[in-house]
Amino acid sequence: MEKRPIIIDTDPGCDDFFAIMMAAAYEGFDIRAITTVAGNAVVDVTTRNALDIAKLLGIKTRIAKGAGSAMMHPFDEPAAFVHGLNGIGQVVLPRSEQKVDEMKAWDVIYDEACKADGQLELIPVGPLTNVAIALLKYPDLKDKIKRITIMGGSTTIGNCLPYSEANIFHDPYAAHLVFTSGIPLVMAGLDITLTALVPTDDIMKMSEDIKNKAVRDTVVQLAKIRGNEPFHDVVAVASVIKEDIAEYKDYNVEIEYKSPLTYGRTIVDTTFTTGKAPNCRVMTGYNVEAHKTMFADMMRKY
Amino acid sequence: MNRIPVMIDCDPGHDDAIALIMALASDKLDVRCITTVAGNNTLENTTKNCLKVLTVLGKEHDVPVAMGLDHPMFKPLRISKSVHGESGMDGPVVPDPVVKPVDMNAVQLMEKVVRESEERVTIVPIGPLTNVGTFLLANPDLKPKIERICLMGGSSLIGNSGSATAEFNIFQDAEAANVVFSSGIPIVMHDIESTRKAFVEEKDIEELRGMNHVGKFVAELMDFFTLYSKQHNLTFSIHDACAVSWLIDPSIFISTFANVTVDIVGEKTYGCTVTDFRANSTLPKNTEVVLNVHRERFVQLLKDCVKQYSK
Amino acid sequence: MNKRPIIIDCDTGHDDAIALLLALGSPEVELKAVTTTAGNNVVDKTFHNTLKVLSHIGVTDIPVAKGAESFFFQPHKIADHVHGDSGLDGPELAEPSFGGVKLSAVELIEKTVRESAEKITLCPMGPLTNIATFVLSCPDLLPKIERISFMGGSAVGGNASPVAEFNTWQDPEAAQIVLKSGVPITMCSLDATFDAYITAEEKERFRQIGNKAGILTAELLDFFGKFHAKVGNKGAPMHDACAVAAVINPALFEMKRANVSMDLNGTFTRGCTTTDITGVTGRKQNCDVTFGVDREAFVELLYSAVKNLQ
Repeated sequence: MEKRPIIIDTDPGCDDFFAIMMAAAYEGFDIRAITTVAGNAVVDVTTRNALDIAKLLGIKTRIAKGAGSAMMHPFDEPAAFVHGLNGIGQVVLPRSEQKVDEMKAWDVIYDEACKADGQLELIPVGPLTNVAIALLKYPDLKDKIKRITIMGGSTTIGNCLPYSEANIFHDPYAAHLVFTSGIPLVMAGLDITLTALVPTDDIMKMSEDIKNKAVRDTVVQLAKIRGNEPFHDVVAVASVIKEDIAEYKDYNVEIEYKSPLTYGRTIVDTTFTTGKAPNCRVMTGYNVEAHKTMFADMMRKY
Repeated sequence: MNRIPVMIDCDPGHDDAIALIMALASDKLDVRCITTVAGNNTLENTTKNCLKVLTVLGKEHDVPVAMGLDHPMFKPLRISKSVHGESGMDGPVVPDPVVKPVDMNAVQLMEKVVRESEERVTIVPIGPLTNVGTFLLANPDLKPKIERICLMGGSSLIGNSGSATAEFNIFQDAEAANVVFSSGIPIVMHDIESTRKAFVEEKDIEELRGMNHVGKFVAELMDFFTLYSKQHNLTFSIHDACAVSWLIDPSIFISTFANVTVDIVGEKTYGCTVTDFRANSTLPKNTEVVLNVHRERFVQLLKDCVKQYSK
Repeated sequence: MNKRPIIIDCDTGHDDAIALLLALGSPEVELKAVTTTAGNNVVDKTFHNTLKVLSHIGVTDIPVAKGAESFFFQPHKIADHVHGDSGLDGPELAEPSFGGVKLSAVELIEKTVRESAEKITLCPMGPLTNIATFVLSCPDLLPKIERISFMGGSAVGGNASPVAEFNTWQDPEAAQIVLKSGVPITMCSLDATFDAYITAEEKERFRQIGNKAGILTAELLDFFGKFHAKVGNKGAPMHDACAVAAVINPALFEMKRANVSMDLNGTFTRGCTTTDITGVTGRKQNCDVTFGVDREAFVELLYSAVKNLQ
């Protein structure tokens, strides 16, 4: 079987760890790169984590550093540290000797898109800054990407603001550029990912199948730190592997980036009020049982 | 039992008319005044329509009516002829009203009613909030005398009418709505998604038609009002009647308390009633947001009210 | 004397063309590359116009790259009422005798800066789209930027709206990214550039130089001056040339340090460069803003540059 070329754009992050793990455990993927962005921690930390996670999980791919802050706030430190200072709840991973790629995240995305001959899929599970910069720097990139599957946004409620989900909230300007790019988009929004809960007890049980002790220890630690909260980012990866795990509808989605009350809201036009053509396949339902099965299968690969 | 003193601010409008019919039939409510505002149609037409409704009910001398503001606070009026027709209340043929509005404006009449009332008064806005917002700006001292504001309007998750995030009444004058929602007065918000669920069926309309002259009037209103709904595959919802029904019998509705702030600067979210449903929200829960309606009980209440006019 | 290496990012344009002549004829600066953007007209035209101007005066060894076709968050609006259909109406110029490089504008800036031993000064004189994309995508190269001397913005007044200058009004988000980049910035704002005009008599002096550059300058001014005479300006203001002049000789300008931040959300003020010269906002000063120009010395500088050319 021809492997599908993908790039994971990520800000690890507890859920990012499991998202990367699920992608790595799937034989159908050719992970062309992992690109990093500021989000759960500053970009130097998320990059360090990406390198160490790749080593732990035995992923051999280029790892490129991306944006340190949102587009319109160059060189500001990100505010949110929801995952602890090192982004992964102070869990210490074995250190990787791999060097960060010489190219920046956006240059790697373009480089791999050119090499993959229109087949490259992006799975951004952090703020969309890297993808936006790639689109700005390389206007022809939009014709070279097969699909972008995003964890972010929401059709209903948010977490950073009443309607605004963190990844979009951190860089709504970037999100606007991605959502207006014309590239086929799939959105795994917070309203759906909130349903994708694998209880900590289940994860503990599943983790007994992990043969690699270092991986098992990390999984156990991260699952405990996270508590009974869904790993949002995994949903995006799972849906790329197994498309029918979710239900989808095509809607027009726009990003608000002016109002402080709704900064970063993904406006999903479910009532077709705007009359604008759909630009995004929005996840509207999710098979949580299948998700749990994928989670368990993933553990057995290590 | 004491009747609840209410002031209705409206822009009739088919569903406004039905709201007035219910309010004036109920022995739970004491309608102290009716004020009109530009919204579904021009102020001139909404006022004329309001007086027509009172005339049909034979109550044109019972309740004072005052004209309010003829356009939103910060922008021109945009009316909705596609829903309510040229006159703003197309359908039933009613002669032009003989009575006139009182010789003061809506805000002055509201002031007078509230000042003269011994009890606290409830405001029932079912159009854009221009009059009510102006009343609150002009009379901060009267706020403690307002029991609550029970309004039809808002969109906690899904909008309609011109914006994917905003409901028509709030979208028309978001700045006025912002004044109302930040006033500190308890608010009941009949969200557009909930009022969509307050619909009648063809058989209900026919039952009303046969009931009495008011029932016939309601049916004729619905004959026109449902044309738009049929065209757009919508239910025959009587949005504005929800605000009145809640005051008559709140147990017909299911609601939750949440913080609501009106967006007045968003490019795509102007007029959205930003409703914080997050479990960990720390913002003050200033609004009772209506989420659902026991539809059959709502329809029964409507019929009961119309039946009152047989006496 | 060491020449200061500069890159011009332009949307040629009459005053852009004259800015190019100023840079090429001045011994104080060395023009390393030219990049083009959508602005006065669509980028295909501004790119083509740039090549035509350089070809006309026999400069064919400078890399020229095509850049942004559109802006970050709003559609492009051209200024053909000022610069004509071609974006450079007036002089009859032959088709260019050389082509641009294969790189995009951002890639050319990136390559030029990376390969340069010295720090580079950027002179943008159109919307800041290319420069902002460079800032976003090459943060590690920003320490190698000596300064960004851009034509755009205004402390008071505007020409695209009552409060906004055309370039910053076209792509306000890009301008904001550049202003927040941390690179030293000279903002050659309308407050001074409107006074950097050339009179009808001075125009004839340029024509009388008799070389290609001189005649070109006069012919550009023949067309450009008509618009400015119509709207009541004293002469033809050489807005864009100020961005280069401020690098060659900053003393030509009266400068004030200020914080400049873009207004992005204003209903009436979007694209305005909010300029805080009193420090009332408490924000960090990030710009040297031009508030006046020694007009005669400026024209003299331009005159001697044009005289140095073919």
